[in-house]
Amino acid sequence: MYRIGLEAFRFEERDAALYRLDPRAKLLVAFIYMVLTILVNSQAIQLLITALLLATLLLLGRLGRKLVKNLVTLAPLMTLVFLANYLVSGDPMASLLPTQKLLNLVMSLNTFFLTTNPDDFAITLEKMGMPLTITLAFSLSLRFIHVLARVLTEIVEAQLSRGHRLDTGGITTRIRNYTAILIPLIIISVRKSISVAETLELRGFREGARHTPFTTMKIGFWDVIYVAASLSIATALLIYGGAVETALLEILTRHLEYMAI
Amino acid sequence: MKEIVSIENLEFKYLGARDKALRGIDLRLERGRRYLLVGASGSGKTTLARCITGLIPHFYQGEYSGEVVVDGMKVSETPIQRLAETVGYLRQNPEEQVLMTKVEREIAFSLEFRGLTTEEMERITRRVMENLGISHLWGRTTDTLSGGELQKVVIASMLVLEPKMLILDEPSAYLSPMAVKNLQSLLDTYIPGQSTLLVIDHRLDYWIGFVDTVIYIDRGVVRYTGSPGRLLNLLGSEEHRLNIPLHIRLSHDLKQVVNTRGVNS
Repeated sequence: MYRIGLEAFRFEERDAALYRLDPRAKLLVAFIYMVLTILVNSQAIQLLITALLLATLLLLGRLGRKLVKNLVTLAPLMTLVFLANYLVSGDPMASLLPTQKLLNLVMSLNTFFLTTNPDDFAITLEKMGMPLTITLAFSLSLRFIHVLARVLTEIVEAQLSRGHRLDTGGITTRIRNYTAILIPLIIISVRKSISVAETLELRGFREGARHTPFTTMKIGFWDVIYVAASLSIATALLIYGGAVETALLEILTRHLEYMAI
Repeated sequence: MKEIVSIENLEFKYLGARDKALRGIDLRLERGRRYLLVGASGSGKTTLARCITGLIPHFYQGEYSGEVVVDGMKVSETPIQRLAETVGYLRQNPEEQVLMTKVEREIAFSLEFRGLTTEEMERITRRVMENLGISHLWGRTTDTLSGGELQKVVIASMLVLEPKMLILDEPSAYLSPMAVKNLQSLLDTYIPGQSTLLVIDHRLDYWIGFVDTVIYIDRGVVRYTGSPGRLLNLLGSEEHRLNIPLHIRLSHDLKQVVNTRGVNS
């Protein structure tokens, strides 16, 4: 489970349309969907945004299995958000809206992070004016997700083979059980970070040095189409949200009536 | 200048450590020669390599005395980045030396700080990849590579700077005996003849036929520099934890028998 959690956010190269788009275009679209998700307070429209994001991820990104892993990892957090809201409001439908928003925010970010190579992500940030030290820190942390996932598996296997039990006892015992995993993981991570710092020095990296990225980026025709389409949809939903909601509810009601007949 | 590395009375103690990691090291490494640095774990092999690459004293702090000169540059006064153009350093775990996701970007990383154009960087990267026989890895992500492939990529990332010296620290640690052989033939074929090679490994049997000189280090002191055969005479029966190849042990024992009892025995 812990491994699925880490793997769910790891970049994997795929031959799909979304992967070929310019990272800047993808970042802009992710931002558009995030703003839309935050501004819209209608459950029907949130459902529509979910459908749009799902279509983008499944059809343009071919990310079916990855998305399932991602949602499985997020399920506990979404349940927690729903339950917390339900305890406060007592209304299950009203509690659904924040959960939907969380889902859409994560899926918006997924359209960028799951389909963008960490190296390209770093270049995107650099082009936006961020210092190289920060962009490198971002890309290196993303690159090392799978390394840490493997280290974590090795530590868990080593501790289990020594008879250490993770999922027994009450909450405090379980938390204490996990320190046997966390402490070696932290130590190994620190060691690896020192090793990476060493490598950066040995490879000629200097803070403030002139940097020419090896990969060049170019906004193409499909990037423009992707941004324009997303922007149009978002604007339409913001302006005609009420009408769209009424139409959606009508369709839903008719569908339910038809099912009842 | 015949020597590429000249070390005089080098001593180093890591910050917070009780004992010195290196004690009074005097060493000369000549251009174009191949060296094998052997010694038990904790004997100071990696510390010595760090002193040559400049990681000590610039990255690792501690009590440092003596002088290390690499290709005419005093290590204590030269930035690591400048030394990296002369000395390429491949450490034990190649995975920890990979910074980028894409193979070609990983190899070209060092070039990105040298004021070259994208075209120039691509030309150099392609040439080095071709030389090492890894052109087919262009476009692959580094986390999908095997241990051997990853090691070649890391070597390629050092070779783009055309260093005059290569240091390989425990290169056999993550490789099968067959992969070590492949690595040696790769070094044989593609490392320029005038380049100096320093291999750090406790597996004497893997490298014995590959190097010209063996340097034996024990508890921070260089005890021996010379041919592998004479090293065994020096070590004798002392506890050295080195993997001495069978044919060298046999030759040594035979010589002992001949010397003590005569040829007829």
